Amino acid sequence: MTEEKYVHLITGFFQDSLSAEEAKELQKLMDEGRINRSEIEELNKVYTDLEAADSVGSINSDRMKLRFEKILHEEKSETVPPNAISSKGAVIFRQYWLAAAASALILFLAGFSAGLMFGTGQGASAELTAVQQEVERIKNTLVFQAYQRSSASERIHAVGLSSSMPHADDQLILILIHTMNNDPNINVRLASIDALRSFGAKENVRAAFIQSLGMQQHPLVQISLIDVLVDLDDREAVAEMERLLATEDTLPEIRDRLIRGISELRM
Amino acid sequence: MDSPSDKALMLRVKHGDLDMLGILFDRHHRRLYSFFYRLTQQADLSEDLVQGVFERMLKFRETYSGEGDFLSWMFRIARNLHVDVYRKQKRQLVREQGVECDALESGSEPEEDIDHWLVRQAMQKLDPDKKKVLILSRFEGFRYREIAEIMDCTENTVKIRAFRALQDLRGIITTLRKQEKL
Repeated sequence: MTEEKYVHLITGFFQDSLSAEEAKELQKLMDEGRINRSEIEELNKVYTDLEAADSVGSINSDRMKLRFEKILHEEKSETVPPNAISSKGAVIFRQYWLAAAASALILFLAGFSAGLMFGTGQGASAELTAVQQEVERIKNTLVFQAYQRSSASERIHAVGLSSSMPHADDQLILILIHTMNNDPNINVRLASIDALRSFGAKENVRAAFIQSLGMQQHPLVQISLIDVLVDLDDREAVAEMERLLATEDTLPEIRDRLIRGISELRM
Repeated sequence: MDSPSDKALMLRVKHGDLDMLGILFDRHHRRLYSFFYRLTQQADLSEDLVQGVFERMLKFRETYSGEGDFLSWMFRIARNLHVDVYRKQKRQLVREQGVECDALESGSEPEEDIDHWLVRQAMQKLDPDKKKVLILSRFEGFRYREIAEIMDCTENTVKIRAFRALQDLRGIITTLRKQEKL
């Protein structure tokens, strides 16, 4: 039996990649009997015979290309670049925003009138604050009525707008969480994660990220969630990340990211 | 004008120009099919696996860094996909029928050249990792360093696997030949 310390020479010989010096060394070792010449010749024959015995059969490229085109088409229809909002979509969305703004203005005016009616005391100030809060709530609701009827690109835009609202209430956050977990479009789900990231200080948002990691199937969404949980330094996420790591169906690329994420969170 | 490199095309896919994957498909689907067919000896499964590779390339396009050799990256996806499918099939088969995984990769019927048939049969009985090393080395023309990248191990490990694979193959062929004579 040939010793394994000579394996680099032998395998180089099979692949015909030995330098002149290495070939000479191999020859010398075989002459001295330190490498079994007949074994190497037999193995080289097996290696050579592999090609002669090879049979791949015919390949139906047309059928395969058709299947590939279908996959590509599905991915393209699911993937809408965030800046690729159609002009029609933008017009519709602007109309909803105008409607929201008009309603807000009416309510604000109503509140202002109420303020005049109730006077200028402490009670009046509380009333005015309540009306302003209601205005904000209705504005959020109107934005998301547009959201529910819209295309993927419009939804991405709506989600983006939500993160710029200074006083996002619990209802808005719940809608974003629902979107992150349920929207059929990957890019909308990714946009929701980005929008929710700015509310990462809230405990329920961090819990939602962890819960979502256990639900999401698409690798890009999984990676995005792992990234955000690591950025938020949420050590509560380690258990869910370990569970995902132990799941046999988890893809190797996700496993790599999970291992890095767990290690960063444990530092 | 030179045609764009595989790497340049994949970077365009990464940045949203998904149609460029079609060019990569045209360039490499045959080679991937041959790789999978040699591993599995099953035409339909090999077609499915080729589609699976391109699906993963689409899904993971944002993780493509453009570093290293494109073919090594693509074959690494192919190798991981085969490992996943092999494990799933093995679990399913053992659960349903209680049979060993060797049955998954049984080849076709003997053909006119018995020696060639014996070599193909022996290949199907090899350990999957050793078989991959031989296929990548003998048929796909990868150097041991590149195979190490695809298989996620050291070059020395690849060389030892290649050497042992040939030893195993020789032993299996001898056994099969004896059985044929019985």
